[in-house]
Amino acid sequence: MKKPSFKLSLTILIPLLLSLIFIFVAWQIIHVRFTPPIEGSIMLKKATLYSDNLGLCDDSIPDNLATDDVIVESLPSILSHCVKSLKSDSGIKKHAVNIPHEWRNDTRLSTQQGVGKALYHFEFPFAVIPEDLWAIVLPMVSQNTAVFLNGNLLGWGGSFEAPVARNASSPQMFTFPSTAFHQGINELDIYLISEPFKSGFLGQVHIAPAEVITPAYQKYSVFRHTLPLAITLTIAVISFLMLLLWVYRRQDTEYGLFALSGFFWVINTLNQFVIDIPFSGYLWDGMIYLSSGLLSLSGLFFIHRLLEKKQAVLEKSLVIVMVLTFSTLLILPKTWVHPLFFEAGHWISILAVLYLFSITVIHATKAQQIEWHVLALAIGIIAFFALYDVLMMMGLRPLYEGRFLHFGAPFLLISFSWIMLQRFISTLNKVEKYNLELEQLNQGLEDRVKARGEKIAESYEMIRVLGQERVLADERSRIMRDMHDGIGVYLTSMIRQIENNNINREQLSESAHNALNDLRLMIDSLGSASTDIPAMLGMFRTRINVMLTACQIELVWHVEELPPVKDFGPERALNLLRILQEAVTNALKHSGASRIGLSAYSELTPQGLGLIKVEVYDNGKGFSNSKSEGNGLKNMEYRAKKIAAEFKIETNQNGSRVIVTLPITMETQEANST
Amino acid sequence: MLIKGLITISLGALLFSGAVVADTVESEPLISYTKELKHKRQGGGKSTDKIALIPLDVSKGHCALFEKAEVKYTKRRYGKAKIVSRPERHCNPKTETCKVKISWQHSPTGRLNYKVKVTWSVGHC
Repeated sequence: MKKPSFKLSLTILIPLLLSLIFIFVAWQIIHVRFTPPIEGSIMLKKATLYSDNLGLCDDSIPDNLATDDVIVESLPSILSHCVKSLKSDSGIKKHAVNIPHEWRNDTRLSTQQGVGKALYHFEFPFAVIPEDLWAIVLPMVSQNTAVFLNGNLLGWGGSFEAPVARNASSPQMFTFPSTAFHQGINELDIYLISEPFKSGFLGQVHIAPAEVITPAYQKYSVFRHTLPLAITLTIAVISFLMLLLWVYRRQDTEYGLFALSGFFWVINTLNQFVIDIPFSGYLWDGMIYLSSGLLSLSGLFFIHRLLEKKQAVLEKSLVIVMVLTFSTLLILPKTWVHPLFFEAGHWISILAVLYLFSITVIHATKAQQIEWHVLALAIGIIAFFALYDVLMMMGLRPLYEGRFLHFGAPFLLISFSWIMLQRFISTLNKVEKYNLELEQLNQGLEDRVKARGEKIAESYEMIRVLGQERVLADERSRIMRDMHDGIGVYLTSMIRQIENNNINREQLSESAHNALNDLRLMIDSLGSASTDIPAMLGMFRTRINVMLTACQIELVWHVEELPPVKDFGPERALNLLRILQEAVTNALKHSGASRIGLSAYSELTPQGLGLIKVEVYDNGKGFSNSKSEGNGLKNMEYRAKKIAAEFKIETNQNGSRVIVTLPITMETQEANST
Repeated sequence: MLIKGLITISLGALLFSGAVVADTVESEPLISYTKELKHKRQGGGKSTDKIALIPLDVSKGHCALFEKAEVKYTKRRYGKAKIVSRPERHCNPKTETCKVKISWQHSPTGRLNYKVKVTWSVGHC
């Protein structure tokens, strides 16, 4: 029961803690000001303002003055002339103002249409002329400025050619040697030009030794200029990555919308660090305001997708309203556009951000996940900054405090990164879980396959044993059959003679020899050499050699290297040996030859078939086929057919020749050739 | 006798030297500081400060006599102070006016805080 309460306290405490951190950081951000050492600088607080109501100064001074071949008047000279004219012309309105000073709030300042120009004149006494390098810092000034000390131009803030340089977010520092000061009253003139007129203001004016004020200037410059630039670059890079992510995963539209929002955010933030704008101020401001509206719209779409909220009607309505608004603005006169943008455009953006804040808060409360709280807080802070900026634009906050909306981006990036991190972790966890399940399934499958494999192996073993038994049985029956056909016949003949008491010693001896020879042949055919024809023939030679020597008959032996014959087992070997035995016996008995030969060789037919030829020949008298076509020849022919061999007899008065031709299969032929 | 005479002379010399030492100890320097003077003007400034020295309390029958003075800065930024005139040595503030005059200046945004360190000797009034 304790665990839920602990979890509940965490779900309340963590968002609360995060809120405090975010609010503290946001509060700190809006209070960042240019703060030089109090004692180390002089802040000028009173000035006389000369408004250029007569148009004595040029609205635009060309940039190419310094590079032109013929220069009538240089930029410093034009600026000096302008300042002198403003101070000396009796028609110029002047009045005392407090610094910082905003033009829009000064009712005494004659409203100038378009470009506004004015001169701030300061006087301050110096009892002692200081030493070393000094500096004048204008932390916030809008838009471009030129600074004069005792009539000497110290510097200016950029281009005076329309559109003039925009330094609203670019703190200005002008350093000069202390010899520029006079003992007594010193005069500082700050010439200011702004388009539009309403944007003109002069923030604080500080004079101090350079060594004292430079660190503060650099710090503020980083905050106002470098930091927004870094934030914008970061957003641009992240948006580009998100765009790539969306290209690869089109179904995740939130990434595409994030990239789009990031793009509009970048456009909207350009004003914070772009000093020299590339086209007219009117178009530039239009682009910034348009990006603000489109940012609100795409941001709203993005949050809807991220929170998986389906608000199709609202989204369509907003798109229509946006299109209609901008179409109307294109038609309206130029002078109306700025107020409309100021008054309406930003309030619409504020409403959009507040709407997003409310739906994210509701979602975070329901989801009870920290990342959604962080997102809600980030949007809340953006809403806070946006409201601050709108108040500033409406005149309820001073212009010289600067804008802060762009500082909201890091908060949004942190929250979005957190969400992405959670998604990544969740995906990794899921993948790991699925991998584990898959591994378990694989293991199960492997076990099953292994079990099946073992069963199959058992079956194969059984088949092999059965096959072996069958081969043995076949072999046994073949041997029995061979014995029956061979030895059996001779033994039967011998038994008959003995039983009938009709014993012919010669026939009995022959039968006994025949039986013994057949038994030897059978033994030879069962030996290991049965598959190797030359070896088998060698054993056959040993057997017949004794017999032929006893009969004083010469044996001519010629056996070449022979390839193995496929499926040449004991059965075929026995049949071949019986044919050869019969052939030798016939030659020995009937031919009267003095020489008997055996040759074995291989040859190829014209069709490419391999053949092994075994020939038994003699130099006897030969025989007539018709006369001697007895059982012996028929048996030989029968046996040759049995072993798929061709049997042929050639005979004449010079001798006879028995030829047995065995085919070699293609495989054996190929093996032989290699 | 010669030895006695030598001892007597030695002791006499010793006593005489002791008297000399005692007189030096009595005049060992004492140090005092004036009040802190502060100058801070936004546009810078320069001027002179005149400080009348206040007599120091020393043992009865003795007086503090001015020996020397020097400027000691407590805060200094873009400024300087210099003693342009000081009392004569052994000036006794109890019997006469002993004044130190300091010329100072600091630049705009500068400041100068200083005291005058006074060294005294003790002597018979």
